[in-house]
Amino acid sequence: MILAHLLVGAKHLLVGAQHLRRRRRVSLLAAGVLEGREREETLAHLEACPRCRAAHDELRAIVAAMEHDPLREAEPPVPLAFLVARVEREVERSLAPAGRPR
Amino acid sequence: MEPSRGGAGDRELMARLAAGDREALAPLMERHYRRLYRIALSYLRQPDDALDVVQEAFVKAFQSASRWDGSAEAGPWLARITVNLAIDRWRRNRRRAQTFTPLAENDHAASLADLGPSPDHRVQGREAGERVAAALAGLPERQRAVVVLRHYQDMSLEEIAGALEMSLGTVKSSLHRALGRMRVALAGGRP
Repeated sequence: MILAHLLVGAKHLLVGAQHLRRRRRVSLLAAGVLEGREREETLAHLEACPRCRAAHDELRAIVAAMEHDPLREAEPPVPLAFLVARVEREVERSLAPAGRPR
Repeated sequence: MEPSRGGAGDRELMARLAAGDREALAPLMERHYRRLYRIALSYLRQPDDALDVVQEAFVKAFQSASRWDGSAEAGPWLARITVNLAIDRWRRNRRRAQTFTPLAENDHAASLADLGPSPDHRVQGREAGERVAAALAGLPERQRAVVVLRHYQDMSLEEIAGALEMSLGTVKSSLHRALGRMRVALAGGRP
């Protein structure tokens, strides 16, 4: 009896770990970073699993929204010369001896 | 990440900075300031804050140039400084409660559906971007940094691992968890 319970528990753990690994691969596929055999296996799984396919489609929509965000191409709001001057001023200040006598 | 525009040029400029040559700052900034600004802006989403972070990053680069590993690329090293400064700035802003306004309750249910195609592409794109930005703002700091470097800077997992000083496995887990959290946030808490 106890052995049967243990076996059922172990099976649930195994299925849970497999599910987590699949979900991680689905996320990485949506992020465009899954390669090789893992990518092929995950694509095949998506064909057979509507839940994972729906999750993948939602994640892809999020990724696409980020990849089309105009912020990616934003130009700095000040000319380079202005920024260089700010940095040089700060560098100058950081090199000045501390606690200069008045 | 942007293609390298000549590692040797960067190395030479970094060597000059390490020797205390302030004249090397301007050409180094010219090569990298746009990319660093976009990293900071994607993380903070505030142009003034992003500009301050870029300024701090170059000051820090000058101060730390003597400790720079001469065999390393300057681009990822500068990206690392910038991301860490952006995270610090984000923490300070959060403490001052100047962060994002959360999504309105009734915005949640339709959020994921609204990310799909729409006839008015420009408006749809902007609104989708704002919803996704709000979900991004709700992520833990490091997960947020991983998402920004991957999806706003197109960095590879290896480059992200280098920039954030994380293992490759941690970068993968962080990306998976972050995208999962964003999905839940945009679906109004539905897993």
